[in-house]
Amino acid sequence: MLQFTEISKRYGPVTALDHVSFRLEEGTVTGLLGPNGAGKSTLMRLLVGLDRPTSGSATVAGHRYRDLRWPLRVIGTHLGGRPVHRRRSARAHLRSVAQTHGLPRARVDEVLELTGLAEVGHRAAGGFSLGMGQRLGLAGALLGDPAALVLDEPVNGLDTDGVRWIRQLLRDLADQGRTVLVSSHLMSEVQLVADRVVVLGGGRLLADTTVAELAGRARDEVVLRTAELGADDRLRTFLPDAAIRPVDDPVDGGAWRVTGASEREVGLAARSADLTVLHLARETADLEAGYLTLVGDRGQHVAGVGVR
Amino acid sequence: MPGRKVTIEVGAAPAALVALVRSEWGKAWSVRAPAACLAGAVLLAVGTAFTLANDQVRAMQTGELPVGSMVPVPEVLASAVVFAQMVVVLAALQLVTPEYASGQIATTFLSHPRRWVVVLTKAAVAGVLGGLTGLLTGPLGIAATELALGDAPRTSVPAPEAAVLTAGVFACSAMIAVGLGFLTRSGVAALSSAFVLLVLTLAAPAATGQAFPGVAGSALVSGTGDPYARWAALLVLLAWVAATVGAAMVSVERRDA
Repeated sequence: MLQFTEISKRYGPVTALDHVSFRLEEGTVTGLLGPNGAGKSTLMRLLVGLDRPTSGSATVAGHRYRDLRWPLRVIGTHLGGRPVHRRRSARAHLRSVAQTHGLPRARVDEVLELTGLAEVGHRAAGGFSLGMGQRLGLAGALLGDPAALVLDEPVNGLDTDGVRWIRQLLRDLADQGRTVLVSSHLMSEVQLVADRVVVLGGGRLLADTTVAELAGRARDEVVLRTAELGADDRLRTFLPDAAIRPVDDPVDGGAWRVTGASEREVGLAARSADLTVLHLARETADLEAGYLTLVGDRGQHVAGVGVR
Repeated sequence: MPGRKVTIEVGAAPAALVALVRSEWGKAWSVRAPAACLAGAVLLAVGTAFTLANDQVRAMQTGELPVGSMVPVPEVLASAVVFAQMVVVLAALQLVTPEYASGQIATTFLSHPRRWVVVLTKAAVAGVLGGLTGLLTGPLGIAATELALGDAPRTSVPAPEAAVLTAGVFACSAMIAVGLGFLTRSGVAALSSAFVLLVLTLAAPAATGQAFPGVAGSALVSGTGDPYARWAALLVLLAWVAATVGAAMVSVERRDA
């Protein structure tokens, strides 16, 4: 449905995307992940023809976006922000968009209802909160009843109810056979809603896989907290093959993350080292852990290079 | 998972163009600013025409002008129209630059991805709005001038002719404004450049000034033949419309949105 072929984009000296290729199938939700400046928004803008690729191509159902006669019936887009004239009412805004595709007024009321904006449709969009702006953007994306949806950070600014609502909405849309591409920096959200993940880092494609596979790339860890401080050397004596590092934010200097050993092995080692165990638990690797394994330091040094 | 059945149509179609025109026309009316500016342009032109005509009468009463001099009504109207066209420019810019400021332009280009058509459509909508405003302004400006002149002698111009000439100037300045709006993507920059093109050049040396749309607009309405005839004035105006709108069409296609 959506296909990127060897697509590259340079803004002056900055390479935002570097020969990225992947395709998205119908009926799936794909999470687009990557640190700030990784090229996520650029990728979306290239797909819908707002920016031009330096080389390569992006197609929607085999066509360039700009060749689509009624693009909003094929793919709905919300690139974040509140792209609406501040003084125009939400309803008037959606009507102007609907008119470009000959969609009936009733459809505008439907999407206002669907996104929970029916009550505030008459209000000027400039006065909308961030969350209401997100809902309005989504309403615009859904207007043409499109076969595919591209959403940049759609849960930004939504309250808990809003986040749950959008999660269910995306799932329903995919179950109806639509293709959904959604970027987010909230890993837990992506883990809950997405079937697949595409990870970008520094403009390159780092992974194009299932959520389960990426989560599985990280190894489970055992967290151990002891009454004694600086116990890691004593532990290492009994766990020579395991990696032991302090918990990032130690309260008392006696907490450790152990990889490469089971709970039982860590517990036995603690007893042999004569340590008083306060807490011992296994933490299952999740998408965030898998993502960090993949992006790691790369995330750090590309952050801040973003051009948009 | 089975895909959804979608019929995908490609390529331009008259229906898509008609839909875009309807949308842009509707957008011009769904906020107050453009209509308010156009109403302001009418009032400003009428008020200016009345004041200028009144000055002529006063000049005759005080002896600055010989009693019985002919007051050229078309020239009075021309001055008023040239002055008021900046407000028409402001109205036309409302169709373009707030879209860049708010990001709405992305929504517009997503709805109709052949961007040069969007530029052309907005120029056409602005041209029609400017033209309609001119049709109203011309006769009202003449009426205000005649009212101020009382029974002073004058060279007059028929109201329908004044309507068409004013409509021509307003339509052209509105379309030039749309071109400048897309080229600069900023309200302040577009308004400043329009001010230079349409007003400041009136004060330039004649040889330079006559190449610009400000002088051409004035010559079109006044019909004095200075610095050139009405047909030449119209050609200069249309050349500026073609240049600015054409450059904008090329620019939106080449730049990232």
